[in-house]
Amino acid sequence: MNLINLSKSLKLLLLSLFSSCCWSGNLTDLNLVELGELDVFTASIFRAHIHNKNQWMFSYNYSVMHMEQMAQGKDKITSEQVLENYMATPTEMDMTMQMFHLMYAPSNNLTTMIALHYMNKEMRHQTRMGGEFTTRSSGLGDIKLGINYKFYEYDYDVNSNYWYSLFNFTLPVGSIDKKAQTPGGFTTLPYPMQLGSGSYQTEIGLGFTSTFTDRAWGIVSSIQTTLTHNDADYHHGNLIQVDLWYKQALSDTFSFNILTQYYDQDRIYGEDARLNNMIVPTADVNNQGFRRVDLTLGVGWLLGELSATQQSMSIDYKKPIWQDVNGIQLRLNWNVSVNWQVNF
Amino acid sequence: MFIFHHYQSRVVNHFAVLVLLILCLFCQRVVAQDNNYQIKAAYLYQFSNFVKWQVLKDEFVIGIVSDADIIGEFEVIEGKKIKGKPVRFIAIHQLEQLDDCCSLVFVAIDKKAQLHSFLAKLRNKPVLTVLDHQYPKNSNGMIQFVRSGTKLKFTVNNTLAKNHGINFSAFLLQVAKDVY
Repeated sequence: MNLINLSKSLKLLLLSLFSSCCWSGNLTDLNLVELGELDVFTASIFRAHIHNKNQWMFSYNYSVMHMEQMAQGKDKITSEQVLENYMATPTEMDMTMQMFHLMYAPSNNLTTMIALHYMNKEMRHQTRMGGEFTTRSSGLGDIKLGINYKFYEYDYDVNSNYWYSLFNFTLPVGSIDKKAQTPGGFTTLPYPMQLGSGSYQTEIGLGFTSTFTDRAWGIVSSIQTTLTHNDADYHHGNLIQVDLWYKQALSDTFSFNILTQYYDQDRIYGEDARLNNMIVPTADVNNQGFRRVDLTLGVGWLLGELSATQQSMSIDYKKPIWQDVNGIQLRLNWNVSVNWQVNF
Repeated sequence: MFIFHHYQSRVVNHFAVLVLLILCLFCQRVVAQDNNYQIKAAYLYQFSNFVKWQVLKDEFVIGIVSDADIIGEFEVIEGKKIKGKPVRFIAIHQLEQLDDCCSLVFVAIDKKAQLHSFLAKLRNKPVLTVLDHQYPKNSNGMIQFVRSGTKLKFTVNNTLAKNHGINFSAFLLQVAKDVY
């Protein structure tokens, strides 16, 4: 990035960061090209998306997920049924996740990104003997690096459309060695409580986005595959994901969105020898993987006119509408996320 | 059980505090910032640098035609000079106010019928007309804001402008989303 672009980026960043509180920055410093690059209207695009040349984006996402109710396949089952075959059963799980996401577009067609996750997980259990215990883990998850490439773009009178591909690469930074105190001692935590995959993974996908004056919709499908067995001698199966989304502007700065997501997470291959799969279903590789359809409703808005050009917020509530788990697992109950995004 | 309730309430509390904090910080601005007039004001300032008028007065007067009181939103270019002349804004509510008043008129009224009346009044006058983004494409303004996804762009009716003695620079025509 040359000095001119750096200067422009700094100018836009300052404009974004300080205009809403203490800096009465002058928009007249921006030329016609720069004004046309500002995000004036609300419409954050879900998942992978494309930015304009030399534009940076930083987003912070905070989400809370809650799981409860054991299930076998599509059917709910009781803890007592689980305890017929295992010494303990999970009853509930909560996870909070903070995601830091940085994107940069070296050209109008190519956008690069890096995403870091910090997670707190907590799983509550009931034992066959009637006792209860809780395990916790926290720390960095895997780091995701990626590129999104817009390969075809066309406009009609009423809308703008583009097709893009995505390619992500996952660095196995998250721990697969987390331990916690259980009734059986200080032991390695089962698969869902670990923070990373332990394996290098790739994700490829294809997406389409169509933007109208006051609405936008898009579809993205991707498949994530694991390249390597991890140090604990297992690897996660493929993850297929399809997102279909629609966003409606309710005003220039406020929007409503609806998102449907289909997940097909394959089972785990191999086995972590440190885990005893007779103790708890989460330690059994036969109880990993699922197919699920989620429905997410959300609202988004731009933050003020000066910063509105660059900053946006969204709050989303996700609820599964169909799930089919492999073996015996907890069902996802709900997920709420708050996202703050700044472009500069 | 205690741990469970403790953790759950901690998560909920943290989440609620986060949401409230964000809402408190920004909701006031969100309400006030519809229509992006400050961005449009910056655009008007930049347009003026790439437009050639045959005649200009001692002041560069910009007329704002709107049902709402939005003139305060244009203060971002207050104190600036356009073509070496100090900028002054006037709110236009009556057609008669357009008689020999301005070098540039920004129109953002809701009713299309009124839009046509104002544009008819400006016909054959060397006044740059800029229309807000809510009107249909090519609504007979010389420049018209258009929404392009999340961006605010503009189109140019070069033929109309030339007929009124207004000349656009090649750069402005190049940056425009469409030129008619």
